[in-house]
Amino acid sequence: MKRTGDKIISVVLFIFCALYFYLSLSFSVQSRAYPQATIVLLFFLLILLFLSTFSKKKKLSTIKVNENNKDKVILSRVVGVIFITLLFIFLIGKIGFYITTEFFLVGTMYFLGIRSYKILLLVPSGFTLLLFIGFKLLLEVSTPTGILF
Amino acid sequence: MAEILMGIKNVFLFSNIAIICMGTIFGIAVGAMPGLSATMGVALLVPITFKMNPITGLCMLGAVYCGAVYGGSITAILLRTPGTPGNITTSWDGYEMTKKGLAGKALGISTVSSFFGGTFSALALLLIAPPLAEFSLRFGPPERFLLAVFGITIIVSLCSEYPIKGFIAGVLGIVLATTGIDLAVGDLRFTFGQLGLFDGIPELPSLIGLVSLSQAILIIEKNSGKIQVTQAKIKDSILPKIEDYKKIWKTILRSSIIGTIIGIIPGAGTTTASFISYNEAKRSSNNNKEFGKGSIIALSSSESSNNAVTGGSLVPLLTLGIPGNAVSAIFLGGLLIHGLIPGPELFTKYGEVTYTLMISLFFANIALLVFGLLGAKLFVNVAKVETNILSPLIISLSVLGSYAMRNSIFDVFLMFCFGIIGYVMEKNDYPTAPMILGIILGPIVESELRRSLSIFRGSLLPIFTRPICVIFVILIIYSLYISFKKIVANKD
Repeated sequence: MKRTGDKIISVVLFIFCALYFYLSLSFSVQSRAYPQATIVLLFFLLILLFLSTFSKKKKLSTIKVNENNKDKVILSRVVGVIFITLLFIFLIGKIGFYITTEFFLVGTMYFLGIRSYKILLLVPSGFTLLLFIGFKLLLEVSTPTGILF
Repeated sequence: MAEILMGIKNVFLFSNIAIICMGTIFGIAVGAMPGLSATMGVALLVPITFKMNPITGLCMLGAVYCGAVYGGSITAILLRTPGTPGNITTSWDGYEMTKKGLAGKALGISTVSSFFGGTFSALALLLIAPPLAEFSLRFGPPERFLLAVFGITIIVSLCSEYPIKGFIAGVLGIVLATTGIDLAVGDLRFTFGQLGLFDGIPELPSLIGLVSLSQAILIIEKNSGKIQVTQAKIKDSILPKIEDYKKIWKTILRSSIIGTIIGIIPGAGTTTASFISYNEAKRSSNNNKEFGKGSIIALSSSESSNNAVTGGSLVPLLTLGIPGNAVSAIFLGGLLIHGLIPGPELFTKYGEVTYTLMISLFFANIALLVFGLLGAKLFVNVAKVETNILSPLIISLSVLGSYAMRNSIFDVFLMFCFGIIGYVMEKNDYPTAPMILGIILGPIVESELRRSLSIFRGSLLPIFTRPICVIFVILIIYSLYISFKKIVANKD
């Protein structure tokens, strides 16, 4: 088990349980019984998990099929994509889905290391066009509209 | 019989045949891409089906499901990289055959085995589901409550390497599912003043976040780009010979039965089915030393069983509303957005839709056979698509899909939050399937528990006087026992 991660998650979820339990006190008796019971159950499980992180006996970590020890996680890529995605979600309602998607795809691919101009031009444009034809024209699915398109 | 004929008639409409073919091709492509899964493929398409006719939409989802489970075998055989976890055992012998210059034969055996396994389970679904749905009429609130609890406990015990983490994920899902208006009393619970949470946590955006967005982040966290393996050339014939069929037909039949049964059990999925079938085939083979060295019997056992899970997993879903695995949990979302509630009504009032879905699985498997045999060489190219290109495409589809249901940006933000949660869970070995089930089944657990307490005037002891309840209690205890054994094993 990843002990540090488990400890952090346990603490975060302990806080979550405390917060939710406190909020549930404002509900009526009938309404809060079930949530409180499940929160207490979760709390109990978290205690077990937290205590297990201090266990002296270690289980040898199993080798996952997809894990390549030579490739390390690059945190900046993860944080960057998360941030760009958040910005994308924020902007689709302001600018419009299709324009924002075009810029999102180009920007994210470039950030992730794609440098081929052909790919940066053709893939986002083609995909956005596909979304437009498929969702807007054929399926008539609504998309966020903003000041543009 | 009339419903079956109606189903056949509906499937033969050009639009539905076209959709089944497109869905199968999309599913095979998704399955062939390592890092993606049938769950993600179905999750991304469910919101699209919202605007479709329910029959067409569900046929497409079924086709994607069948295609994706098979698709993973292509890269497993040619690149030794299973497209989905259910194809791990396929790679053991499939790739060995590729090394011997028998890649074509391996692909052919895999395709034919998948076809038979999927078709067998579709037949089982057609035969088992209607009578089981009728049997479920005997279920009252106590039975439905215990069934929902069993659904969560069994998926934790079977799919979690660390059951404690699985239980935490499941119970957390149940806690989150208490969000929204308490219909019995009218209280607003945990909505934080957000209108978007008044009806509870919307299932589809949360599922898309947990399954799709988290995966989109996972595949780019390392700068691996594309698979750096030289693809083996297919020089031999893909079509299996008569002698091959003689060697593998018993294995296919046995593995199809195993896969179907495992698919019916909530929580057990394609990975469990393929491993159990592989071991069973090895145990009963006269030539088990060939296993792991390019045995067509080993290959056929793996592929027929994992595709046999597809129909089996829809049995508890359509009849009892209990998803057999993560994919069928997403399927439940597909049913609900069309107002289709699992249970007996699905086979009576909405019989036309349900029977058409079940019949469409036969055609999806035929499409799988045709496209698999004709296009296996082409499908492997999708594995070469760079993850740096794929990830943004998946994210944009996830955004669109989560917006499409309620035209709400709030739902998109919710999807984003669950995507982060799903990513953190995956990184720390917390399975997402129990959380998905907790979110979906949580409201059922609460409402049926309340009804049961109301019937029994505040006590649950009378459930032990009901035989079906006693069976469920035994099953719950058994699933907890399996989890307990794993916990003890992890400590040793």
